Amino acid sequence: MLTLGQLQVAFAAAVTDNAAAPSAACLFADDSASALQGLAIYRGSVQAKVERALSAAYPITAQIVGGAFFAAMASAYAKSTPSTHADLNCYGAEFSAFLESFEHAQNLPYLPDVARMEWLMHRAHYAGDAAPFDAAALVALPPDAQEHLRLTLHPAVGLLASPYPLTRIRDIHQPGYAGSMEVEPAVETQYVLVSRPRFRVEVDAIGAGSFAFLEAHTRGESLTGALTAALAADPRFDLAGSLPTWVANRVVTNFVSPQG
Amino acid sequence: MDHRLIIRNALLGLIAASGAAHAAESVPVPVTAGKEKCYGVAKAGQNDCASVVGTHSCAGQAKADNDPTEWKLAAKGTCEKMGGKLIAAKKQ
Repeated sequence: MLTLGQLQVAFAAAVTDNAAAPSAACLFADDSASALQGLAIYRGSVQAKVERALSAAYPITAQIVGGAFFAAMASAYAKSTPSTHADLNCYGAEFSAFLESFEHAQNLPYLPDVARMEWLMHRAHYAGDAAPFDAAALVALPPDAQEHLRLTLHPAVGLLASPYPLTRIRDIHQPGYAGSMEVEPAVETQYVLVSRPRFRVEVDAIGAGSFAFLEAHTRGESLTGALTAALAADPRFDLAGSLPTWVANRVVTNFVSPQG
Repeated sequence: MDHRLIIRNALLGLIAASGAAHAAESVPVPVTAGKEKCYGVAKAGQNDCASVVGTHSCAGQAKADNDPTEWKLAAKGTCEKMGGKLIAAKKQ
């Protein structure tokens, strides 16, 4: 007699992989052939859901490889990486890492970075809200405390550096786009900022200095540390010019002073 | 300019800019702006239960999966149109 845990593991394996189905057929009162057919339908249903969840999160990746290829790729991903969350909108976080090593997608070396950008966009859409920046609280701060401040980034903010022209790839895959599909290789690293200024997710190419500054904050650096990193990446980095834009676009939403 | 001064100037600029922004926000917002907002919120294809591409479909997908895992597909999407230049670019 199987324990409940063993039964669930056997059923989950049969639903993920048809090779595991015969060992789970004995769980059912029906004859083996009918049980296997039932499991195949269940499996087809699960895979269709997985494919829908992934194509909602990765619409550009899906357009790049085409529907049939994407469906097969989604199925392979589902076998290697089962969902661990009750919400299917959270499924697919490791898809870019999967594509990195997926042998049939190796001739599309830019695909994992496209998927990385798409996951940041997908997460940005569902990220929580943040209260607007309270500049009045800045006024109350003693001048000596300013350089030790740490800025808080909005939960929707995502940062990505890539050797591929990701924003161009995104632009030519927008609904209604009718221009040329040709993509020139990027001459230098592209720094991408994903944010949600109001309700829609925005994707922008930013400078190396801006990227280094924001990225330093994700590592818990203070304003001084982040500024040092930004100026090292780009001596022309303009903090006074960038900060008001980031506050207005809900990239920077708060600050933490070291005293708490 | 030393870092302390750059930071001080940037924060002062921020305080000044936010003062201006608050003044701008007090201007009545046209009604159409509010309507526009409502349309943009749902992610494509995910705003109703029975949508074709939604993640929470009500209709079951009763297609049996009995295929052995054999790969014989080629990527046939926009990758072809984007051309070979992108692929030639090596990842650093």
